[in-house]
Amino acid sequence: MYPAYSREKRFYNLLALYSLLNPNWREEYVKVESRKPSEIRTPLMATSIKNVIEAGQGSGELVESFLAIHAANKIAHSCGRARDIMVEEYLKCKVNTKELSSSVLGTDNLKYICRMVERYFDPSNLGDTDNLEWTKRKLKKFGIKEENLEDLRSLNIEVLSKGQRDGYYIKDFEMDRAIELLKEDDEISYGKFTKNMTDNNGVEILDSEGNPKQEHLFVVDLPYYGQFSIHMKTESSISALSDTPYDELRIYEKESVLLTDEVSSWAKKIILGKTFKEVVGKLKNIRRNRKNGARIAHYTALKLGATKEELDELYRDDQR
Amino acid sequence: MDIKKEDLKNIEENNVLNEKLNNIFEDSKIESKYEKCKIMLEYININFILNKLKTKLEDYNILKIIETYRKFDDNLFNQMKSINSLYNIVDERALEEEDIEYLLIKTNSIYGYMKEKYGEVIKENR
Repeated sequence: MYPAYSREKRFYNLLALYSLLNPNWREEYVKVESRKPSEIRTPLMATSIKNVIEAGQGSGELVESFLAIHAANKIAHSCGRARDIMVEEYLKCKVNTKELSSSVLGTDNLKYICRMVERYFDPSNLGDTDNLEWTKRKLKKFGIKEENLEDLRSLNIEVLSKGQRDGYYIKDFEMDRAIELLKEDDEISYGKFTKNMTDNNGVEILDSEGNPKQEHLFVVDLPYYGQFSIHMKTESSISALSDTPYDELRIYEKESVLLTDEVSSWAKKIILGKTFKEVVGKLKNIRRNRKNGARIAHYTALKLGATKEELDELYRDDQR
Repeated sequence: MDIKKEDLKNIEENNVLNEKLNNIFEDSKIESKYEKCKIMLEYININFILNKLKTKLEDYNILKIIETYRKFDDNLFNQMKSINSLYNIVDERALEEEDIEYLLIKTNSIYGYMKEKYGEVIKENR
């Protein structure tokens, strides 16, 4: 299993798998960057995953960990999505041949069936009849029989369920490790950011009493790389970062993106050959007066290698 | 919920866990039910690690528990990885009744497996 391999080997294998399951990783990167202000849109020079691996391995444990967190999270989501698509395609075939009712394709029913199929193929079942019987009972309500589940098994749904579980486990494992490294390092700004959760349409998700459901982001300002944030499960946010909130006014990157130490051409002109002390005045000015100024100044400072203390300096006059 | 207490025989047979189970079934709020299920599973794991593995952990979060099982028992390691996946998935969407049912069934299996392989994990109240 993952932790048993050498650091080098597991990093290589994880990133290689990430690129196999997400062959469009470069396009995804460009897509995320294109949503940012032009001043901070960072080019990605890596043309193959080998470039990313080599760059990561030469950048220290922390950067390697965050690249691994990003990759593992993508692997978990890709496996889950692939499984759901396969289930949907299978159900469509069965609806077309009138073996199943078209109701199985209704949005809520489909989501429910996918959830149950995921649990039926829980790789840790190992003959656990209680779980198998429970899921079969649930699926039977939609006319889905054991032979349908065996059809799905032959499509290797189990492998995807395992991939999703391993992906989440590796993500949490690396996150735990990264937090330990950050706790030993006074120079890097990081923390937990809590916000109300929304669905894909931007509508707030509410709990049974009508209160907004909250989600947690793990945020870090990595010198030379930029701000990185990723969803963190509630339990970890409580056990590891309960006393480390991230300043709400300083969070800009709310979706995880592949880390790179490349710099936008706009920021390059400001920081090339300069120290933080030399440009902090200019960056404060940008922060105060330019559209998206705080985000641009924050990014530029980080690309210059700004520490937590230097970021505090960048924001100082606002806090008086 | 679609499952009954009788479906969770292993838990029901232990009076300490049965009390926790009653508490879960009597709760009408889905979120607190889910939290209580998580706490019950954590309680089982902590007791198992302390009493059977004779190990004290600095922190009993799920990752530390998984790491402990990784070196000790493959089945428990995989079971807890599945639970970790559930916690992650549920955290990214709205909570459903079936998440609680699934968690209860898994907890019942995990506890049953521990008891069968290593002996009673939770000391009952007399």
